[in-house]
Amino acid sequence: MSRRITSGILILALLLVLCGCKSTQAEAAPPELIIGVVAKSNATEYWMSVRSGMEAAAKRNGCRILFFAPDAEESAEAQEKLASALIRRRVDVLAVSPIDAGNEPAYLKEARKLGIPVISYDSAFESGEIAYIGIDNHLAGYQMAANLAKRLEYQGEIGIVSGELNQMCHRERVEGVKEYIETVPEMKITYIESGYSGAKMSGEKLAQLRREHPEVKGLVVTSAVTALGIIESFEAVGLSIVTIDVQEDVLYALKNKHIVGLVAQSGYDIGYETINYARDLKAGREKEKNIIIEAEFLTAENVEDYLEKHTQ
Amino acid sequence: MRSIRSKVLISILLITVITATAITGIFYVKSAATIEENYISSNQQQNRQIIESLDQTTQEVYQVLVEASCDAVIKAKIKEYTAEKKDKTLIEIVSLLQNYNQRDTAISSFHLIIPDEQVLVTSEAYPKFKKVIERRSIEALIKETKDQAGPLLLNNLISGRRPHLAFAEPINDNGIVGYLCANIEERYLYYNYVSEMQNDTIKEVMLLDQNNEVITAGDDRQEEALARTVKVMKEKFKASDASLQDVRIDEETIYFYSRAPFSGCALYISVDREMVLGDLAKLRLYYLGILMIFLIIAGILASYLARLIYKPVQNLTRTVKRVSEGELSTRAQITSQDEMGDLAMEFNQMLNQIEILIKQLIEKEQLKKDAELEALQYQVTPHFMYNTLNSIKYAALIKGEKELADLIENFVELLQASISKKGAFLTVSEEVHILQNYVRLQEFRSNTAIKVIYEIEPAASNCLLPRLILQPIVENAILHGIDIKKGDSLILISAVVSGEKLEIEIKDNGRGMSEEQIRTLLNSQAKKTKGFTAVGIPNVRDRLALYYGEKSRLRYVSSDQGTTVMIYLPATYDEKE
Repeated sequence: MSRRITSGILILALLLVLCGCKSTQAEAAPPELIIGVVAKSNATEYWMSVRSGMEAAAKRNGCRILFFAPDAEESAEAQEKLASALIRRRVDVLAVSPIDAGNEPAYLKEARKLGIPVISYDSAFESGEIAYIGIDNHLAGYQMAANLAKRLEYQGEIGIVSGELNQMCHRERVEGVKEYIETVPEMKITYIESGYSGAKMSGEKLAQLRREHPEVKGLVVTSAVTALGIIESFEAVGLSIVTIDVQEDVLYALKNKHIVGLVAQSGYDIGYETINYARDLKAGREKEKNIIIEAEFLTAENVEDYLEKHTQ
Repeated sequence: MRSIRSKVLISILLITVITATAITGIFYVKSAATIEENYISSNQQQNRQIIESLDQTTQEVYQVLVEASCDAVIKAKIKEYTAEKKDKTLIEIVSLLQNYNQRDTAISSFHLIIPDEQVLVTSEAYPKFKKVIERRSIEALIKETKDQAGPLLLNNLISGRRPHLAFAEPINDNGIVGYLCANIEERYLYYNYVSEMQNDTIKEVMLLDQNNEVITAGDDRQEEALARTVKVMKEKFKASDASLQDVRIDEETIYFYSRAPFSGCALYISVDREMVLGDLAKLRLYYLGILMIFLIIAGILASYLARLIYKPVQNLTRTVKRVSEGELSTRAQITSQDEMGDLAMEFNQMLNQIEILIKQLIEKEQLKKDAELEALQYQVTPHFMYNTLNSIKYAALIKGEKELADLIENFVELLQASISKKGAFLTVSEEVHILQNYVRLQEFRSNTAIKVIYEIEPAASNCLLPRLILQPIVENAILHGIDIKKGDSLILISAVVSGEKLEIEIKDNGRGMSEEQIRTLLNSQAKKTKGFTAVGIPNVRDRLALYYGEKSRLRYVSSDQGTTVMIYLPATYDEKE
């Protein structure tokens, strides 16, 4: 009798297990981590590669990014509005590449109030209180100056064409150049032309500079887009140019010796690391305050290797 | 249910029906769950794509709005208008707004509100601007948009038409100088994001703003019906819910809710579960058909199997019945090598054994009958013989022939003992008395004295033994053993009880017997012979075996010094034992 009961219970249990596999209530998807990103621009290849790196990291980590950027790198007001909108949207983390590094924008206060972590990438805030993910811009400037000095056999005059100096990245690069040149007694910086953040310098302006400073034989350009604009001009003939940012046309310009050196700042890597950092920050995993990404210095001699390595 | 065949058949059918029904049921339930899960998954994916597309559009709209709100020229024109109050300036602003309007097709219009002047400038063809906007309307707009991100449902300050989706952004120029709104028409949203969702399966679809207010419901349903839908939706999903994707299921409906991460707009869809499982109705019929086919096949198979299993049982049952009716020669047919085959084989062996036993029993009974009949042959006209012999005895006494009279008396007694019907058993003392009579008769016949010594233990004298069991042995000793002409011939008859056994010994000092003679004597068949001693030794052997079986023994030991016959049998005092 007891065997019958046991068998009956076993069969019933089996049927219940088989029938019980059906779920009657669909489960809600777990909330995704939403990372708000504000860039300086979305018009150049560099910023597109930053976005690509972010999208790739977001996909890998199951995050969602809301990417915004003003039309031009000069529009600090638009950038602040976009960042504010994301804070009001209650994103989980806000990543900003600040156009105006000096002032503390209103959205930072708002973020602090709402407990939303803010990080900077590509370019830091001047206060140094906000975590930064990017290359060492001061070192990049130093490297560019050193390479250019070597080209010019450690003598002569050079000029700097930089982006807006209220952006930390450009300011630090310029300072890096200055620091190095001060160590070379027979060299000097003749002029610093700023305001070219991801923008091209006109041919007229370059011609004017060549006319006014014919003794300048080398240029440090703190943005690749600007450097590409310069080498397109006939006025650039005879100038040794070093610049920064990895983008395809600049690498080919280096390969063809239209520029002499390049700090290989990878927008993709910066974007990728920024999202990883944001994820870890939100997950409560302790991180170093700043993540400094290595940037290789490329010349015509090693650019082939770099291309080979990064196009495989 | 009295037949094993019907039990087997019903058992197989029952198991088949339960198993098939359970499997079909489980498959059906699992199929329904899978179809529903797949539908939910696919719908969620589709909703997510739609809502992400909408979110991308709103991001682009907002991007244009932010740029426009930061436009230095627009700021300058606002300042100029504030200073000069010229309509021309407003027209110039219209032109600027129209340029931004063209940047994105989702933007139906821009509205610039200059709160201090209570003026509203549009990017539309008509009216290009409207002056003296009610201050409270402006204040309501400012209040509503303050601290809220994303598009909201705002009232149209010009037409007063139903609310439309709009982003609002302040224009800062040393303080807020205006508010710029980028409007998105309900029809644009409907045709681009809602209309394609409407199909037979979907019951209700709504596009909601971040506060779960209806932007578009996709149709012109009655307000009452819409209010009911909104109520259900708000019960199911909270606007503050952090989840971007959510699904609720009740008995009749599946509710989908997908929220855009930037704009906060949400797509709400309700689907009739019955419609989702519409295809399953066909599948249900298919499953039922399959079930029926399997049941028919199972029925046929079960019937065949039942017959196969039942056949040997039926065969055995018939054989047993025939045997019980007396046909002992019948044997079960062995048709299989299984347990039923073994059973039939064992049954046949049992019948064989019974047959042997019956045969043995009949043979024994026959022997017993033969012995009894043989004994009865001596009862021929006993009274006549007794009376005659008694008459002769008295005649001898009258004539003074006392010795002859005694002999006749001895003979009568011997005759009585041999043909008496009083029972098959006598006591040892009675048997000895018969022997004494017999010996006297033999002495008379041979005219010689035969020396017989009787050593009967008192315990043995009352033991029972088959009648005339000793006489043939003594007769054998007198006729073939001792030489009665010699004076030293002797027969010693002794009886003792040893334990539970009665041991009788008849010993003579005659010429003895060879082994061959003993074997022949003991193994020969009992047969009828004429004369008083016709019973013979084989008859003694057979009667001992018949009455006592293995418990009795007849043994001959012989040499040239004489023969000793030993009889062993159980010591009994009551015939019933």
